[in-house]
Amino acid sequence: MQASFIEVALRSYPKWWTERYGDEMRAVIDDLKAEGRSENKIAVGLLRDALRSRLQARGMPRTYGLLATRTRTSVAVGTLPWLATLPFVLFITGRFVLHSSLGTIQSGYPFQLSLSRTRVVSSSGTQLFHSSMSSATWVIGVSTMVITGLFLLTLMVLGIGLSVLRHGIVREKSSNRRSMYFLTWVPLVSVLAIFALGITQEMISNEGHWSRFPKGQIEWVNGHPVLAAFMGNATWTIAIAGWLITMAGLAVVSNRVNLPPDTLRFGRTVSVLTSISMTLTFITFVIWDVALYVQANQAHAAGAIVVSYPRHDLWLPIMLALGLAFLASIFGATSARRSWRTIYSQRLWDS
Amino acid sequence: MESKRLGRTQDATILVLTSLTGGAKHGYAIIKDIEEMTGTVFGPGTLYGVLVRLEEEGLIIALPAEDRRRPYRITGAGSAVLTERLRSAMKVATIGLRRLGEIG
Repeated sequence: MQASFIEVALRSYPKWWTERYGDEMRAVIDDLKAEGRSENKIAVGLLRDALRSRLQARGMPRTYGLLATRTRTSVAVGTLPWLATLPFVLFITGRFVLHSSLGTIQSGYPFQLSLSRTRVVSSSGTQLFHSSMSSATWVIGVSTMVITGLFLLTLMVLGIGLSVLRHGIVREKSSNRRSMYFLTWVPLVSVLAIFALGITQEMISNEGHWSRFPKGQIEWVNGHPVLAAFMGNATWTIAIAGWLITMAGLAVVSNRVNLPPDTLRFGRTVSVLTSISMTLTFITFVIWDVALYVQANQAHAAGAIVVSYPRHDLWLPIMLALGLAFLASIFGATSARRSWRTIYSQRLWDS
Repeated sequence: MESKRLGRTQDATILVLTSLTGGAKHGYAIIKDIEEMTGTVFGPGTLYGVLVRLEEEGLIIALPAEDRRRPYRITGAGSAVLTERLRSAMKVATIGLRRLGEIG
């Protein structure tokens, strides 16, 4: 059992490391075991060093193949945390409720939560521009807007990155080209399927109409509510499956695909932009939460517009996950830059 | 943890280089030599973390393997770095001991 723990630790070293130092390391371990050294301690030390070897790549031979693999993996580390965490951020910040004691609020929030555009309809039906909104509420609106804007911009950057990746795969003549190319289609196919299902669901729902029955009750008739509900569930299932397969697929592609140098360079740029976006999103997410707390102290004036988020209680775990993700993303982008710089400065693709 | 037994002032790099000044040694021999010199217990993970770094920086060089065991030898650059760091450490040690009244 303990011997296998050491074996697991040894296998966690990078391949290039094992090829270079594996045999002599095993000889040292055999000697230490023979003198009665704790195998658990040896294994823990090995795991720590294996992690360091993977992160720092110290002693890694400067060949195009190894550095290209490191660049691709780093690009994946720089971008996948964004894909993994942003849906949860949008899940929390996407649902909101606006309150005002003056009446019902009309707003196209988050893009209209501002003094000039958020309106309140009073109980008498008179529409008026609301004049009371705390600065914290305004900050909350702007923060949500920034998070959404960063999401859309990053999505666009990743979309362009994906098309460049596909182009790079097509140009590189490797044996696994077909399967790698197939994996890069998963995100687009998922999005198209979700759109198709959403539109179909809407059409099915709209086939019916409201009808007044003799007893006075009003009911939706002639629609296909069961089918529409099924389509709704299918949409969610495809969205979640597509999201998971996209992340797994991109991780596999980054590990196995062969890419030309200019595609690697573009990947590095994408990871740097994504890490900047993640950093800004993290900062904005923290500001958003602080503003929500401040709002509780600022918005006591009668009739002031107050915004609340039903899923705000999930803020802490999401913030921690987002924090880890943005650190991973920065590390990935930095590593991608370094690897690419080594490839570029030594023109390794010619070797 | 092995690293906990490394004192804060004990530098793994200095220990490995110092061990190699006595002649080329393979991994296990380095571990035992350091243990005898200072009582510091190195694990293979810690040792190879240092060896890989020193080899990359050109401070040591790997010799042909002998039955799975590959000896390492300190280079001229390694000797120069070690000399400089030991002198610096000795200067600090001398000042510290003098202030403590341990030496005249």
